[in-house]
Amino acid sequence: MALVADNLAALGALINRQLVSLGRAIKFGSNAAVYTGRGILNRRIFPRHDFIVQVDYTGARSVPIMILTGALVGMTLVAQTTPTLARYGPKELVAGVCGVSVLRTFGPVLAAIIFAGRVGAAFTAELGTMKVGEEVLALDTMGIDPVGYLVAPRFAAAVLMLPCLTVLFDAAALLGGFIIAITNFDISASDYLDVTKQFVYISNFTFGLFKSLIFAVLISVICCFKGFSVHGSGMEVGRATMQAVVACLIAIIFGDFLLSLFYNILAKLDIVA
Amino acid sequence: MSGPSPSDASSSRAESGLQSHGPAIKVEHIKKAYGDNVVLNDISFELERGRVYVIMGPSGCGKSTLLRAMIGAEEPDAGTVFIDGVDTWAADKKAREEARRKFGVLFQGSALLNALTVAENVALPITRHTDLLKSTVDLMVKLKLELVGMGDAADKYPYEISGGMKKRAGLARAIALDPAIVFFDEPNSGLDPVMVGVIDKLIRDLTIKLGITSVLITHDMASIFRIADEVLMLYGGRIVFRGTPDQLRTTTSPLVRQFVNGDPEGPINAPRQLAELSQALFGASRPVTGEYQAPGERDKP
Ligand SMILES: Nc1ncnc2c1ncn2[C@@H]1O[C@H](COP(=O)(O)OP(=O)(O)O)[C@@H](O)[C@H]1O
Ligand SMILES: [Mg+2]
Repeated sequence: MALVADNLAALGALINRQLVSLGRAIKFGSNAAVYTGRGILNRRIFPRHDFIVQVDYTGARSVPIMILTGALVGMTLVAQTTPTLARYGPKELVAGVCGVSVLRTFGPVLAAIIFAGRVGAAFTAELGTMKVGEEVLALDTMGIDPVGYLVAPRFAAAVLMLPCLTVLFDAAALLGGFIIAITNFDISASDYLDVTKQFVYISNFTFGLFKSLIFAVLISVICCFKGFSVHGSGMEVGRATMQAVVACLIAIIFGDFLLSLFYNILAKLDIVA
Repeated sequence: MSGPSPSDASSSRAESGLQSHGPAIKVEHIKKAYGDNVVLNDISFELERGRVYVIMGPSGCGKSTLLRAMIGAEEPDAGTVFIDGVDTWAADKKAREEARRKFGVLFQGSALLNALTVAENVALPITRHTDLLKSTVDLMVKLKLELVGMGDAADKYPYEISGGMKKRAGLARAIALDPAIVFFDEPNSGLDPVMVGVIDKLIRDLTIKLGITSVLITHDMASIFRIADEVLMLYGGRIVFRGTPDQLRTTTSPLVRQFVNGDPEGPINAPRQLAELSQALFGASRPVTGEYQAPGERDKP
């Protein structure tokens, strides 16, 4: 009995701790959003220069990997789905499968996962190192809010760039799928495009972009929060980075699930197709 | 913590307006614990203006924790700190900002922002707190950098310069707004003896030239005897010694003597050695009684 009670108490304490840090993360995130909004109006909050550096770093330099993985995902999807479809019906339907699944899930989710591994990890490592080096504390004692100065430019860059990267990922994946379909499976280009028009709605694309926006918020808040929660030694930076990436993956995949349910509700209400 | 009522806070501010000759820093009954680890146990002291103070003590005794409480970075569990008469921890956020403008801090690792050049780092607090024209700011930055002998390195990035240069750049940033007080967290750590001498002289000169109050955290005895007006020793969560360097040399306290002379045996290390031995032998931390217990015996009632 005592053992059960002990374990329950430990579990309770664990859940309590997680909820407390979730609460802190939410507060941190809304703080970052507020500073970003104010930073757009007042250049003292965060220097524009930092924002541009972050846009270049998080956005421009992620373009090649997004296009490469996007094209490969589209090609793989069509290559693996077409034979199965062909057994039960018109193989041209693969255009619809590829279009809907890329725009609704694969594009936003995979682009976000790549972004978390590339950019989110860097956010945590950079901010964690600055925390250990007392640079965050130094900003604070100079009367400069570290969240405004360090987090807001990263937050703004991520929220701006991840949807853009997702568009590139989507385009590369659709193009890759299209090329494999007409070269390897003997589907005519006009058939492929016809089926695509029939099955794929613009709301699939826009809702995918909405998802990527949510993922960008989740990634930048989780990773910056984890970076700021580093205490003590440099070794903790590595651990925090790993935890941040894992937390991002869970948040992205779970978030995708919830957002898909939400999409279905919207579809039932005829708000989206 | 139970802060004084607003009227108390305002009266203390009024006081500071009257007596600009009052203590630069007044620490009142500060307590701080991390979990069960009581780091600061009811610490009080006053520091006068225009002098160089050293706070020393063994590693992990809470010097940095005390510093963070003094610079308004980490709230103590109880007690408060007056900076130039402003109650840092009872006052509202605005008053704390006001108190912050009165001091600069040189952090242990200099804490320069790597994304900015040395000059931009020094300009940061100035552009932040004033509306001066860029040309004026540039002039102020140049002046401060010349003062610490870093005029030539203004456009270098922190990762391009040596540790000693970083310290000097950090010092230039700390004095950018002409503060009345400058805190130094281990300004000598990681420097060669010549550079230690350079930094010491710089601190001494600045204190005299600019009339600032310097509060140093260090356990470098040579530099303590060189520049300190007064020394405070922190140990076991309390101030166990306060006096001039001469008094430090001639103290009869075994604790302080051991620290000054760097003896491996004495009151400071004894408990830690036993704790480490117990840790090595038994793994889990057990209260150390000073008596050896065979591994088989320790589970017996
Ligand atoms: N954020 C923290 N969380 C938990 N313990 C801490 C924290 N900061 C400091 N400590 C503990 O407080 C004690 C004093 O630390 P510190 O003030 O850094 O010592 P010093 O600067 O004198 O070497 C140490 O035992 C340290 O482990
Ligand atoms: Mg320290």
